[in-house]
Amino acid sequence: MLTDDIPLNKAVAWNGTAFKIPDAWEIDSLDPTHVMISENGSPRAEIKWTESSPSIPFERQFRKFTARSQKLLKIIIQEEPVPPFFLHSNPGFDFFFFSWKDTSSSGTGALIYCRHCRRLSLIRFFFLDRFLPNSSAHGLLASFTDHPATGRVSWQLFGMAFSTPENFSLSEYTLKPGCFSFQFLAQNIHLTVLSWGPASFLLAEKTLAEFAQERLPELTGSALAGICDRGNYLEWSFRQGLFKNAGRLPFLSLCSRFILFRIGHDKQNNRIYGVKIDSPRDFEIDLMKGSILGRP
Amino acid sequence: MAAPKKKPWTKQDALSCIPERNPGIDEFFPKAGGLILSFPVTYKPFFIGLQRIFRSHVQKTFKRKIQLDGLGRDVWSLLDGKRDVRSVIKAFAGLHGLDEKEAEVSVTLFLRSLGQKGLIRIKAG
Repeated sequence: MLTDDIPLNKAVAWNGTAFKIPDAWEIDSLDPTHVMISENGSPRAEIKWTESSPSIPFERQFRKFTARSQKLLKIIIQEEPVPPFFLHSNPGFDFFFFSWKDTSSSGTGALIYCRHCRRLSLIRFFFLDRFLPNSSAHGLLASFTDHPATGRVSWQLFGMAFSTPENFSLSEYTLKPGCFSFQFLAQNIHLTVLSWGPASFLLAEKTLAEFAQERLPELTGSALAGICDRGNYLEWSFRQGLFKNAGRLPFLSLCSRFILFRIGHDKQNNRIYGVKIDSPRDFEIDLMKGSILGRP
Repeated sequence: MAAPKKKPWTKQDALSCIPERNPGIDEFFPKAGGLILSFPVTYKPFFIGLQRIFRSHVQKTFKRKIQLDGLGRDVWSLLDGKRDVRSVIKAFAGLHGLDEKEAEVSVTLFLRSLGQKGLIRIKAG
């Protein structure tokens, strides 16, 4: 049901790209530059993007991306006129509408070029002959953004929601049932966002501090307790040297790193959230404050 | 004449299947929580042969036990032979406040391992 006026309540934000989808749609698969959306196992939308180089002319980049997408997705793309009702709130976006077909299915889609961040995104919809106003496809395109407006990148998927500073880039991620982990890197500062669930089961026989020590055995010292907008948290801050007792030798202590780890029980979402900052500089309190656990 | 090609199973087909517990499985609820399932397993022919040499009475099956944690117990309790996989996932996600996709991955992996152990059978929905 792509042409009905279905409310788009679910926000998806992944690696800079953000958009809204109906509640029944869900992320089927993803990688750093690709998201597949499905509904009860049937594909609904696919989003793929690439950063375009400033040294290559846009037309060439555009042709190359289109050709590569056609080859990769095994589809044939046919250019379509921009629907007269379509208007995006961001004037920095250029939309190129198209219809596509492969051996077994067909649909419509749009190529989006952002003049601000030079990101080229391809969105294709499955089983949709043409765009209609108030359709899910129209709503997704209208809500599409590919760069943060506030200097913080939003991440919203699988019940998780957090933001990271714009200069941090995703270096690694794992999405295992019961444990999600996202690692970010910027100027030798490692930021790791963790989420475990369901909290009611994981914390049934142990305290939050015991759970934290079990997952991160390197935690040393006592934890500070606090409250933030997601609930109670525990916070450890300590210095970790390259070797044991490295702090006794001044030249070795230069290589030590500051670790800040905060873990909290989000009772509302039945999850345990953790943020770890591993930095060569003193404790990155400001980075932590703007992290997943919110401001204290 | 070549046999007609079978239509490949889609995710939708798999999710509409009905998992059903196999008969002959005993359940024990330990004090520590979780659930212990005890089920008969047939000896491999080699071991039956060995028994014939060394024993007067040949035992063809033995009981194997597996312990499920609280989450496994919850999924097991949802396998009533009426609910399809999709309903089990939805019920499990609702029970623990999980995202449905996360519940789908964990429940389907768990059902697969139960199937490999011969604890459940899958009926077409």
